[in-house]
Amino acid sequence: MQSVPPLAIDAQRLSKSFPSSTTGSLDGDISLFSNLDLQINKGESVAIIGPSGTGKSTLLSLLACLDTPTSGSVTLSGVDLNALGQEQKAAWRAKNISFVFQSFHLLPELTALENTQLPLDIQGTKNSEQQAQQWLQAVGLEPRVNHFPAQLSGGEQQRVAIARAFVTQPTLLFADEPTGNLDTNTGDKIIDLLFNFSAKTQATLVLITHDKHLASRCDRMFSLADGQLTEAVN
Amino acid sequence: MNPVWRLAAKQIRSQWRRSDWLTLMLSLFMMITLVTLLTTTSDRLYQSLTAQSADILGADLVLRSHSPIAADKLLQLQTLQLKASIVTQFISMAESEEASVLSTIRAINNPYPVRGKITTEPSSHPAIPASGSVWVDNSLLSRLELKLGDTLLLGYSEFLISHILLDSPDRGSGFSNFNPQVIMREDQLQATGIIAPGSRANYRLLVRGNKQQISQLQAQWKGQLSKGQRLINASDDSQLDGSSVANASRYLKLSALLSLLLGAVAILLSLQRYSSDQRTRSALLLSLGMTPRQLLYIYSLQLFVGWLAAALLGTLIGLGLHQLIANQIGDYLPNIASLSPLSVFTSPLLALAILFILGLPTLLPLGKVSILQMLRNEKQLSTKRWHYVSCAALLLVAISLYMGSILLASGITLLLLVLGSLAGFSAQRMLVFAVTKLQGRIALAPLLKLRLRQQRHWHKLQAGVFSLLLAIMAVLFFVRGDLIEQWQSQLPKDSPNHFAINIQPWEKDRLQQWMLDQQIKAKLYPIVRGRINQVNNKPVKQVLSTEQNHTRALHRELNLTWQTQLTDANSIIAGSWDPLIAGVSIEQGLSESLGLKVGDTLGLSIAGEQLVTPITSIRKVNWGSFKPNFFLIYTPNLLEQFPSTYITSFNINEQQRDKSTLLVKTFPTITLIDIDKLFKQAQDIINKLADSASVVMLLTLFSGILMLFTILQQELAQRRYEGALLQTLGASERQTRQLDLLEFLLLGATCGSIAAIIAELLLALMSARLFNLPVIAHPLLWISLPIIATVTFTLIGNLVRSKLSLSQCYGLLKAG
Repeated sequence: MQSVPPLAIDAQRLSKSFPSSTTGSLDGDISLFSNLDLQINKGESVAIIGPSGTGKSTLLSLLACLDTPTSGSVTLSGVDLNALGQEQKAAWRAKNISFVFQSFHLLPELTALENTQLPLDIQGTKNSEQQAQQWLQAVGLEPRVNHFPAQLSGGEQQRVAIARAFVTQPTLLFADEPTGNLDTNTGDKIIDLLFNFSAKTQATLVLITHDKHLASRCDRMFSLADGQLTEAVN
Repeated sequence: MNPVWRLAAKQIRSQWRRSDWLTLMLSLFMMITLVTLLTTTSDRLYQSLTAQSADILGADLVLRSHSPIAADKLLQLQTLQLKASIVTQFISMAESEEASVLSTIRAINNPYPVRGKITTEPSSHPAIPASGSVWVDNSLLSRLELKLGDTLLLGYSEFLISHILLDSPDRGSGFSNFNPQVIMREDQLQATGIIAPGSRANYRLLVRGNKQQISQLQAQWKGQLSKGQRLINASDDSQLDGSSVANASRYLKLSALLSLLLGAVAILLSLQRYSSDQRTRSALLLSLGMTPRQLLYIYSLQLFVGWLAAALLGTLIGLGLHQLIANQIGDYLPNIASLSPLSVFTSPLLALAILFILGLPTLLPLGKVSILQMLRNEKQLSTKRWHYVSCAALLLVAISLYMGSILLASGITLLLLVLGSLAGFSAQRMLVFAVTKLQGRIALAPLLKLRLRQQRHWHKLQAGVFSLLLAIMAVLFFVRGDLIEQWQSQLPKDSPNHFAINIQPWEKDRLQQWMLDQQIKAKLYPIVRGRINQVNNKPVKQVLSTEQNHTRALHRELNLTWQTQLTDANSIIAGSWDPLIAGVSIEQGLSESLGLKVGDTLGLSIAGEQLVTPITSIRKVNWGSFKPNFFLIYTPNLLEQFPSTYITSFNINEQQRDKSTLLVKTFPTITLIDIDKLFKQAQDIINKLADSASVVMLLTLFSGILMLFTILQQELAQRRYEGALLQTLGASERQTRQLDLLEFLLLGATCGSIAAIIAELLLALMSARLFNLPVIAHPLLWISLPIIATVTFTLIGNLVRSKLSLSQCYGLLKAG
């Protein structure tokens, strides 16, 4: 009998609510969403769309095990991260998960190359410089490897961030509004890179966005509204 | 290179110019510089003072006795391999063929002295006088009209004068040390026939040892003292107490404590600002797989490197400044002690401790920053209240270790914390009150009210810290002024610079006439010697407690006098002085030591007779007046029946120098004490100390201003954000500026007023408890502090806020 490979992300009956003391409400806890189920296969790309304040970023943080749900569970590649200790959790995350943020978040004192090799250095990987160089070449920044973030445009900075995200060859990539700070033309190029690399490395991509057009490029698209997650037809 | 190290190195290099990091470094550097300067200077002053005290005593520990000291004590010291020597001192006539002079004679044994050294002319001399010879003061030679090589008669023995004594420690205590001095060998004392059973002589056992040996010995001997014996420790605080140098040393140490507190608050505030700005960076590094431990390691490394730089520079500059001061006052402190390594390292090590005590609780939360920070722009600080409590507690421990007194440090720290909280709370209430009063009067009042509500927590902290800071600066300034005034008032211009003692009753009128002829103003005071033996008609041993019985004044003969009118160095603090009502006036300190009050009776044994007198008043005496002062002053007609001599003090100016020689020639039996040289040295050292105190004051002021910058820079980003919001909502740049200025103005005025109250309270407390200065009001403080605070706050506030154009406002708001 052939065994079924575990899902990249398996979220079961996820709920998240906030105590009223943090919101100032007197009517008990505030529920953002409850009993959400989401299964994402390996290598799949999934977009989560929805209006502001519906909890997209919170859902992403739960899926990436950055936050703990009020109830329900999340397993990543069959591993329950919440059952691991702090150090093990950090190590697993470093090896398997990468993020791409809206605001690039590059360290200003490091060059493009150093920013890219940083996660490998933290993990103690050999040949980090070589690998980082290859990824910067892949994102088209070879001539600018020794430039500092302040010397790069917004699009170039996001390309460095993408190179940094892929350099560890993650199995899971979370991108939160990766084009939010870029113009449409540059944004499209960045998205092309994200999809190409995800496909090439068979990484699972979870994309949070407002942009329906962008979301439609993913294998599947979910909409989060009024605490409900519904799969939208592409 | 380890990647974490590499990142740390890059981070350190890239962040050193950040304004929050620079403020932190500058605070650290200022603290290290100031504390190094203050610690080394205070330590060296104190060490020199102790060494000087030992040199004057000729030993580290002296056992003084009225009866010969048992030989086993000396043997005990020899077995402990401590250097020790016994001295016999007595007063006798030293004679030449034509004249005789009352002299103080020391019969010594080898080694002598055990501390300090004897200077003679000719300068080379054996360890003790050679057999058959003596060393004598120059004044004795001139009075006896003798010279080196002549013969001096002591009792039945004749001695060759082989050396002139220029300077020597261990001159003895009381007036006897002002007589011309003679040093002879103890093994030749018996032949002189001067000391027979019942003769009045003082015996001293001089001991040299390290601090530990001396305190052990002191503790051991303390319980074995017999009547008429006393132990004197050169490093005993009471030996140094009250001197201007000791007060200066205390002032420096206190300034150091305040600098530490100032520095600690500045460090805490800049660390908080720094760590709050590092949250996103930390979240990123954690998201890239860095462990909290590695993160903490990077930040600790950065703190350590920052400390190292600040410590190197701060210590060097602190030492440089110290050297400047030491050069200034070094000439006036004989035996200026070498710099102790401990005092050099105290400041940087303490700064390191404070940096990590305050830094770790501030930086630890960075390891727990959620990566969510990168997704949502969370700004909330996670520094918990217990962090502040633990910071305060740990800081207290560090400061206690430095001050060497938990009680003093905790008292001061607690007082400052309570005062700071009270000040913050009151300032915030006063601000609200002021704005309520402004409603309807000025257009900006509603906005100001909103601003106060937004910033209320911050105002509490800001006002608390700033009021305290101002109060501390004012205290340092005024204490310095009061101290200098006290030091200088100790030595008014025409202070007496000569004392004449041993004036016999039959010489009194002739001397007074002579003084009149020479135009020297002097008042003669009769002296009768007596010993207190009864209180309220009962022997002192019965009436007084063991501790009271140890009072020095009970174990020696006191100089008593009678007066019709008390001199201006005396002020009555209880009872009254009426020369017609028979009674005695007692000095405040003595009355407190013996627990005596007005109405008690005091019995004295005077020349074998008993005199019992009621205490009619208690006096405060200005001992630094350079006039003859007395513990007990009797009303007339009580002491006249007893044998008496007279004492006087007077000023001889530069033009009258020859009159002192003339006086001694005219009245050979009088002992004349010239304190002019001492007086000039004291005046000089006081001026130097005042200069040093000004340097300290200026440096502390600078670190105060630095701290104000730190305070005002906190929440600057939020203030800019609010300003931008107001401008985009239609307010003009001028209006937002006016709003900021109005807020700073009110805050400054409030802080200034509160600071004035705190400063006056602290000044009163310190004058009374620490410096023994009279408690006085400082009206200048009440006017200057509110003005200074308002101006400073407004100026610095204006400096740190920057003008925003509308487009910048949009940019700022867009960036969130």
